[in-house]
Amino acid sequence: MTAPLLEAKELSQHFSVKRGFLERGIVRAVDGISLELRAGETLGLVGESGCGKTTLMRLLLNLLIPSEGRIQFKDRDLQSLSEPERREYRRAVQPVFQNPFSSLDPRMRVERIISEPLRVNTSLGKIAVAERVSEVLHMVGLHAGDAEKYPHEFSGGQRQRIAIARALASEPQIMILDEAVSSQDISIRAQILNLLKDLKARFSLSYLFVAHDLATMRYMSDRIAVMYLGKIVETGTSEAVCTRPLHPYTQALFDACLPDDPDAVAKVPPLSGEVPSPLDPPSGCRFRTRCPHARAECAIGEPALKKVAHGHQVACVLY
Amino acid sequence: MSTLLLQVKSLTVGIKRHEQVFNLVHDVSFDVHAGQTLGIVGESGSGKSTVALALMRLTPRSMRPFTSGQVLLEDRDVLRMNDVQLRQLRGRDISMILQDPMASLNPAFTVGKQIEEAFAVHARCKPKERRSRAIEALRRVRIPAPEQRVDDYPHQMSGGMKQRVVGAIALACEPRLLIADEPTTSLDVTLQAQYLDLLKDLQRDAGMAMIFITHDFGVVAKMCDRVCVLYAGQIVESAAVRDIFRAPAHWYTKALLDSIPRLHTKTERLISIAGSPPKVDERPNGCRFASRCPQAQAKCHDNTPPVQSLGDGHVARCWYPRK
Repeated sequence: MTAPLLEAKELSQHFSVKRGFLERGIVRAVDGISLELRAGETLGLVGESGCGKTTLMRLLLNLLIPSEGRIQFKDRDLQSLSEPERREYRRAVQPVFQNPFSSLDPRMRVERIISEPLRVNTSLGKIAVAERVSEVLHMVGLHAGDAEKYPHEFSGGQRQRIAIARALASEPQIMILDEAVSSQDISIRAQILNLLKDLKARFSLSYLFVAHDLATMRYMSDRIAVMYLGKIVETGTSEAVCTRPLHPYTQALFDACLPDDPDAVAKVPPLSGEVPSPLDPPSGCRFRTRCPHARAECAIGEPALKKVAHGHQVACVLY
Repeated sequence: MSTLLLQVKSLTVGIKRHEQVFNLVHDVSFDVHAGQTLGIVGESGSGKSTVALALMRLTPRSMRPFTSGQVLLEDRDVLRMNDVQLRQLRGRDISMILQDPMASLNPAFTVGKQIEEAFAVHARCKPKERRSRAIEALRRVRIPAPEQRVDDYPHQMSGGMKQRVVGAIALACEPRLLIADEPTTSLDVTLQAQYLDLLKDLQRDAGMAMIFITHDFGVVAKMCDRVCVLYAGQIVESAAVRDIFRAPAHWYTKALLDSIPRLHTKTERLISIAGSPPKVDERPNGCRFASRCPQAQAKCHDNTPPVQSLGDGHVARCWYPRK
C-alpha cells in the first residue's frame, strides 16, 4: 500500500457564532476527522449541505487554521512549515470550484487568469509563463489562441476547462475538486469527468473529489468517505461502499438517489426530517434522530470508526 | 384512456435581436392527459423553460409578436386569452413551481399571508377562513406544526421547507395542471426524494396532471409517464418513459443516456458528446444535432429532418432513427 500523501489527524474546526442577543454557540463544523489521501488515488467525499465538506476542504487548502488536530503533507506537519514551504504546499495542492462563472475574474483575460498562480508561486520568466499557459490550455482541450479572450466569451463547460487549466498550471500533486461538474449540463459533464480522469492518469495526480451525486462519485472515486454533521460515518473502497453500504445514513443516501431507469424506482420511503442544527447536534450518534435502527445506547457514546472489512470502516453500533 | 387536458400545437416562440427574429422554441407539440405526468428534458438553452412560461403566457411582452401555434387547455386557447381570463387561469387551472424557492417567496411577508393571497384572488372567502385554509394547505405539504409555521417568515425556514411552501401556494386552489420547472435542483439528495414523493402523493390524491421540466433523467425515471426530449428549441423525440430508456430512437437521446454515470453498475468510461449545443443565432438549416451526431450523413446537414412516427406514440425528428 502506498503511503498517504495528505493526511488529516483528528482534525476539528469550531466556529463561535452569535445566537440570540448575548448568547454564543459553538458550531463544530468539522469534528475529529481523520482521513488520508494516497498518491495517485481519487478520494470521494459525499455529504449533504451543512455537513462540513467545505470547511474540511478549506482546512486542507490551508485557508483555515484547525482548532484541533493536524494535517500532514508527505509526513510534514502543515503547522510547522516555514513561509516558503507553505507557499510550496499551496502550489502543490490546487482547488477547482463548482461555479466557473464566479471562480474566474470577468475582467481578466484567460492568459492572466492562468498565469497568476505561476507568477505568484514560481520564478518562471515571461516567455516560459506564456509557453506554460498555451501548454495547459492545450491539455484541457482549448486552443492557444483562447488565451487572449475573456471568460464571458466561453460556454460554461469551456470555463470549467479554464479553471482546471489554472489549477494544472502550477504542476500540482493534489487537486481538490469541489462539486466541479455539478453546475454543468449532462453532455458537458461527461466531457469534464473524462478530461479529469485523463489528466489524473497522465500526470499521476491525486484528487479529493467532493460531490453530492453518488453516481458521479462511483464513476470517479477509488475510495469514498461519507460525512454527516462534521463526522465521517463511513469510508471504504468505492466498490464496497456502493455495493454494500453499511451505515444507515449511507444506505438512506443510496435509497434517496434517483433511479437509473424507470424500472429501478425504489420503494423504500425516503429518510424523514432534515439534518439537525450543527449548533446543538444530538448526543451520542449524530444520526440517531433520523435513523430507522436507533436504540437507547445510540444516545450515550459517540460511535468511533471501526474496521469491519478490509478497507471498509463504519461508525455505528450495529457493527 | 384518460381525458385530454392540454394540447400544445406547433408552439413557436421567437425573439427579435438586431432586426432579426430568432426562434427560441420551434414547432413544439405535445399532449397532456388528466392525471398524467409529462417530462420535458433538455440541457440549458434548449428552450424548456421558455415552453413552460409560454404555457401560462408568462413570456415577456417583447416575444408576443413572434409567438405562434396553440396552447389549448381543454378547448380554450391560452395564447388568445385576455388579461382577465389569464388571471383566472394562473394559479387556478395551471400553477407553477420554480427552481429557487427564495426567488419565489417574498421575504417581507409571512408564508401564511403568501398562501392566503391565492385564496383572495381565486376563492372569495373571508379573511378568517383564509387563514385556516392556509394552515390546511401547509398541512397538505406535510409541514410539521402548521399552526405555528403559518406565521413564520421565509428566512425562518430551511430550503426544503421553503420549497414545500412554494408547493402549498401552487396547490392552494387545486389546479388541474402543475408545471414544475426543476423543482428539486436546489435541494439535497434526501430532501429531493422527500419532495418528489410528496408531489407524487398529492398528484394521486388530486388527480392533477403535471409537467416536469428537468435536465435529470433520474427525475424523469422516477416521476414521468411520457417524455419529450428538447434540443436547440425543438422536440427531437417523444415517447413513453420506458421506450425512451429502453429504445431511444434519436441519436441525441441515446448519447445523453450514455453520458450519465450509473449508480448500480460500475462504468469504466463514459461516452461523452463532443462539442456543445448550437447557440440560438447559430442553428443550422438541416438537423440541429447533425454536427455532434455520430451517424450524421450529408442529407442531415442540408435538409430539415421529418418527424417520423415509430408506433405507440413514439416519434423522432431524425432522418435515420435508431432501430
